[in-house]
Amino acid sequence: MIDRYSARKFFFPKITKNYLLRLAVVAVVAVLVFKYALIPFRVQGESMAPAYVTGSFNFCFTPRYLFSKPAWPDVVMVRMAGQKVMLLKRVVAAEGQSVEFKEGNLFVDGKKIEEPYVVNKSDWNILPVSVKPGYVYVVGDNRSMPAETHTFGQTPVTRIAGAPLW
Amino acid sequence: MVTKKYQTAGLILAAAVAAVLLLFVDWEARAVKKQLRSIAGEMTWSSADSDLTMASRIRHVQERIAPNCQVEIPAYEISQSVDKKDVPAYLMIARKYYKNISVKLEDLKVESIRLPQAKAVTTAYIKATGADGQRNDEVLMLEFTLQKVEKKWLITSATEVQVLEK
Repeated sequence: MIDRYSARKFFFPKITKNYLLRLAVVAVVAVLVFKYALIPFRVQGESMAPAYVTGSFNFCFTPRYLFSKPAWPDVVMVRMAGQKVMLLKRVVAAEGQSVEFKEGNLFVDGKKIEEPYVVNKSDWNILPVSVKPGYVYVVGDNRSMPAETHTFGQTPVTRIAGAPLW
Repeated sequence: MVTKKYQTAGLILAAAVAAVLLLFVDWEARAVKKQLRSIAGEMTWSSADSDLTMASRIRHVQERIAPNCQVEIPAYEISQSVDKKDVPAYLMIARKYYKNISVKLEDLKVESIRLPQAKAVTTAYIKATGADGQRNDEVLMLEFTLQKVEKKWLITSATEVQVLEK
């Protein structure tokens, strides 16, 4: 049970030195966390549908790949000129592997990969590409559009800013 | 006596602020950013805009481009040297293709300034509606080179940086 005095104290606290210090610490921690570790973002575009749809909200967890490398089937955020606008894609192959699409099916090192996350099957035919050292191959889940209009391909691991929190 | 004291303190403070601004603010980088942001602002139009508004926008874009500007944007199948005097024709063609367009530059960074040249990178978020009413949004990482001519930064090249290599 919250009495009137406690409620008043909570909403209108006495401005003391300690209170201001606590407030400053909370503000600094919040800025650091949400600027560098958990970057809030809103999904725009349907390239990762149905897992991530336009308008959905999430956080980019930047320490995700501090001690590991991105690998299939991780969803990652690819940095462009900075971190305000990033690409949301799924890793399908790592460095040294060969990636190919035949009739919409993904083949890595010649082996067909089952992709339960792909709902809209495609008819893509893309010749084998070898992933360069230090790179990963990323592609969106929604492949209902022609390959020419879908943004995918290999990107340096250094461009991976992190992974969505959920 | 007191007023004189305050006036002196005010003058010292103003001089200190001016010194800090002169020493720590990179005015050339600010001018480069301002020029690019302004050109992005002029590349925004809607079907409601009159021909007069459009003509004024075209003139402003033309003023910010070097006599010869190299444009390499594979996403829009553009790879050519653009003559300054041809800018109005190209923009009129673009207006026919897109009834609404808006360009927003995010993460704009000036990478280097070696007078009279500067290099900047940015993520251009282009929201466009085609003449047929179809949305055609695009996110591109662009690299600009600019040259300072008579105290004005003019764009000498615009190149798309391939974030994902197919």
